[in-house]
Amino acid sequence: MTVIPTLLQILLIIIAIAIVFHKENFTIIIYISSFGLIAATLYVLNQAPDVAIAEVAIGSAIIPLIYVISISRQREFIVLDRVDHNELDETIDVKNIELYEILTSFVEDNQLKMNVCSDIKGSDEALTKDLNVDLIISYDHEKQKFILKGKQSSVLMDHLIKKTFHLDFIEIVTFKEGESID
Amino acid sequence: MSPLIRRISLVLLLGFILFVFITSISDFSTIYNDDGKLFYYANGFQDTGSYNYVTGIYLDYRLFDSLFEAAILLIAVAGVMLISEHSIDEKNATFMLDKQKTPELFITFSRLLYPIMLLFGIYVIVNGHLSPGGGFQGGAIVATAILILYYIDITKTVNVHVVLTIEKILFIVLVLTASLSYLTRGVLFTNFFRLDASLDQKAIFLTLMNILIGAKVSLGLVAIFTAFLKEGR
Repeated sequence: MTVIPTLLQILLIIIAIAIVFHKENFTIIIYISSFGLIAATLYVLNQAPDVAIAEVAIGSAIIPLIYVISISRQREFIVLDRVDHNELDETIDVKNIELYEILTSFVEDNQLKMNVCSDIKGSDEALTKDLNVDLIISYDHEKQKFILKGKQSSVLMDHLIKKTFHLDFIEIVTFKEGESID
Repeated sequence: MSPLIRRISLVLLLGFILFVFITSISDFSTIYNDDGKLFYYANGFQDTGSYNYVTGIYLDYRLFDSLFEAAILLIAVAGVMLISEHSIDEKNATFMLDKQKTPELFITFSRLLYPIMLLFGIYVIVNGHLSPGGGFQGGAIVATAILILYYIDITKTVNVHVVLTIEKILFIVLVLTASLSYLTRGVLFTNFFRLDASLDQKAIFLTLMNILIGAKVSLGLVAIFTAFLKEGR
């Protein structure tokens, strides 16, 4: 009878590793929920039904629900526009419109809500770090390119790089975030 | 200090902690003995009147600990309310799922599940001294049922102010009920019926405490959940 607990324990470790390495938020929530369920099964097998009931209720129902709420709250894509539109001529204006069309479709693909703002002062790296700005748009006159800046760790930036790879008037710069392990 | 040195020192520190832990628990016979288990087997049922020894322990022998467990949840709710930085009577929470539509299938299943979950939660609370479960577990199930109710009706509102006030009052009632034994038995934090009272009489105290704890826990969890809903509104 020790086969089933051992298998469940191995499964528990696999799910724990999957939670750490997976990228999709809602899939992670499902993993967390199943983690709680397997832990509860192990509690029952080890003759602790009281703890198992608490684990099922808290670990696989309330915590995933709270995570769903929190992640739904994060569905906003904040764009800071630093292009001075008075300086631009008409050919660049067309490109600007095209850029915004790309961004709109990108945001819709990822089921986000775009929030464009301007007039925020401060260095770009500090803004992405402190104010949670996802993307900063500026225009480089020498290269004649729009420069999009964002965090390197963000999965959205990877998607954006893939989406804009073939366009020659867009250049994407990513910041590397500082060491978080102290 | 470079990151490498920091990481190496972290690993060394963790290894040292593991070493201390292993050496401290090497004397298994003093830690894993049967004394406690045998005591509860011999006296638990007679002393507490609870068929479920776990309930007997946390509502009689270790009631003092349970009170602080309930207090910790109260503090956690207070902390969440403080961090979410909304004045409590600002507005009632409306549900966040109004933007992204909840699937029809999910709503239908929730409607079927809601009364069953509520009933099961109340069953777990009331039968805490007879079967596995108790106030905390049942309260968590009732809270989950109430959270599902949010998904069914997105226009549902909860007045957090009232919820928090009821929770605080319930905690005070809990402490008062627990210390009632000082008047009847001369000892704080135990059953307020005499030690030689019948099982039914003792069950009254256990059920009452379980219902109080269950109501307090479910209200606390609903308050936390509502705070999360309100955040960012």
